[in-house]
Amino acid sequence: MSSADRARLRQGSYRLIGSGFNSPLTGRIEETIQSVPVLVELGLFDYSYAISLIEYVEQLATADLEDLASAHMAMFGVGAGVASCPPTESAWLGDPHSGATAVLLSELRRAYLSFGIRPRHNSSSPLDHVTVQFDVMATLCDMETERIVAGRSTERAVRHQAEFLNHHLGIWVPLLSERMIGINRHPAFNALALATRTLVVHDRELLGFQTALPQASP
Amino acid sequence: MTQALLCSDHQTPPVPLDGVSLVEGLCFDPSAIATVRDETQHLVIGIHRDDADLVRLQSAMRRIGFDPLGVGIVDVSLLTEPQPLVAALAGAVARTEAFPGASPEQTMLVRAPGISRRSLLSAPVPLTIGAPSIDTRACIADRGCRACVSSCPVDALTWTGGSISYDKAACVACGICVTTCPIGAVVNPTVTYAAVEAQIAAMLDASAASVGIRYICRDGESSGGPGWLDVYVPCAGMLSAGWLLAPLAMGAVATDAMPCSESGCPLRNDHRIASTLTDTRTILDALGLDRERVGPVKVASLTPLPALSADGPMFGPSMERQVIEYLASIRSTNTAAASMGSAPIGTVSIDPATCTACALCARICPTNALTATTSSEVVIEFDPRLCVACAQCVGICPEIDRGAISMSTGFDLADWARGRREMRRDTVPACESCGKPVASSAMLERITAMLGSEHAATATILRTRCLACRGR
Repeated sequence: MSSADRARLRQGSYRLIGSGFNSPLTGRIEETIQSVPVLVELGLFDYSYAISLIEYVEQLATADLEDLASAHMAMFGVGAGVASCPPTESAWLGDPHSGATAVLLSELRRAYLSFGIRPRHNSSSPLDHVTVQFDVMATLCDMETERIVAGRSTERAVRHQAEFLNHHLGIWVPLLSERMIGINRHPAFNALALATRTLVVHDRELLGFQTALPQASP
Repeated sequence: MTQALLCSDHQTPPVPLDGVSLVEGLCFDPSAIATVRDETQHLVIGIHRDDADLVRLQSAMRRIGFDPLGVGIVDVSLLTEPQPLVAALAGAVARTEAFPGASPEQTMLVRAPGISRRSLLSAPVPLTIGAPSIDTRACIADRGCRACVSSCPVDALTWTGGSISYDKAACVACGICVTTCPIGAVVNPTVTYAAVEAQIAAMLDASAASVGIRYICRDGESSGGPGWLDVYVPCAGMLSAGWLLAPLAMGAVATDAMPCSESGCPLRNDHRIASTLTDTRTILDALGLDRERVGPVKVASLTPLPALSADGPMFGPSMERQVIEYLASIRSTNTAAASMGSAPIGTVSIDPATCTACALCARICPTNALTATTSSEVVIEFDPRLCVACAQCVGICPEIDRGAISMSTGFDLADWARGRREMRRDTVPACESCGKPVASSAMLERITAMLGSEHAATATILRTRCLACRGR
């Protein structure tokens, strides 16, 4: 595995798992399943989150779409009232009326801009939504790949990833994952919860491991 | 079901083994483990450690859906005789079947030992190993316990405000915190008490001849030797005397611990390993058992200790007392006693002349060896059988400078037989306002003496009012 392949693998893993929090649609599920061989080719099985990611895709492939959609609605509350597993960082901050949400969203906007990213967002995918945050990580991995291929230093891109994981995803995603597993609404979402947590926990550590080593060639 | 795959390079197994499949070139091409059957739930792999690329092996395990931490690995390089090979495989199967599963937080990435062929040409892929985690529901850090913190050789654990913080980046997963925790709240899924006991029991069951059990660091290399079977642990520094004695109690004829390198432990745990070996010999001496059973001895010349039926498992948190009591019952002795350097068994003494009966020692004691009850009197009791010599009672005592409490490491079966006994008793005056207990008389006298005559009024309030009523 080359350094560029590793960054590509991580990018794909973030995209695949992040998309699991979107409404389940046939085309989206097929796309997820089809992306697995690409990740495997990039060395997925070299990393410990591989097992939970594969488990999630297997569950997704055999799930009934209506059941999935109903579980998705109940858990993430898209278009409904209060979600049992809100997929947004602000929901895990405590009192939503304290102004903390506004502060967080503003902080995230600044962080994304400082990374050189202008994420798309709307009412169903605010800046603190797990899918948006996973997309940000994927984009940072993409930036890392580009720099590796261009033979430039990846230090900044890797530092941004580590900061974002340490300050955001690494803090609230394990809580979301625990809630999803506790609610036990659908096996595919249980598997998604474990895959999400495993990727975030593992990737924080991998970045530490990576930065502690001399830079490898592209 | 459990399946075992054995690399058949270098040597053919000495006998056909039931349930074991031979795979040619397994060490050089780990993808060959894909031949594992669909119904296999647990997997054991026999490899030659010098040939095998552990990172690729882990990758191959994930590819067929196995968590590498739950796959038993046996180094078959030196297992050329039928009996040791069968016993080692049986042990690996038992340990694998007892693997409790690992959460994402219980894994850690490290550089693979040595330089793999792949890592020379590409981005190094890390090896995944088991990491400790703290069961916050069981942990008693809120009572002040920080036994794991003081034992950590790399300062990866800190106690803050009644809870333990864990810095995974600093941790080396040596396992010392696991065996130091007196209540088993620190867990490394790859080295649980139950799994190690199951492994040793299975090895002994599968051995027809005398067997010695030798613990080896995960990065260490077996020195072989007839009759010796290896049990891998994260670091030999994590072992306590109980770990070395337990195999003898279970039927092994000898026991030993080997650091990962002849030049010494890279974590500088050599002194811990040496102390543990010395303590183990001291305990055997005290019990009238052969101290030569500890260390690199000739196994064939020894016979197992007589076996009795044990009450429950040998391995567990603070296991020393149980193992010593079992060995004492073999010797039919109830008078053995010994002083030791570092074994986790101790005795606490309280000096009634200087102890103020504040009972902080009982509050922090993780095993309830020290307990306190408070009503119109405060009574502090001590049970030496429960003491793990963590010395936290000594560390927290506010009157330590006056020698109010002291601890010695060692055991005395006669003392154990006396059981729980009173160490300190003092009266507790009632609050003049609400009637609730104020504090022990000795503590109030001590405070009065420290305040002196110029603060007599304050002292009077302190002596007669409880904390809640003092401001009223």
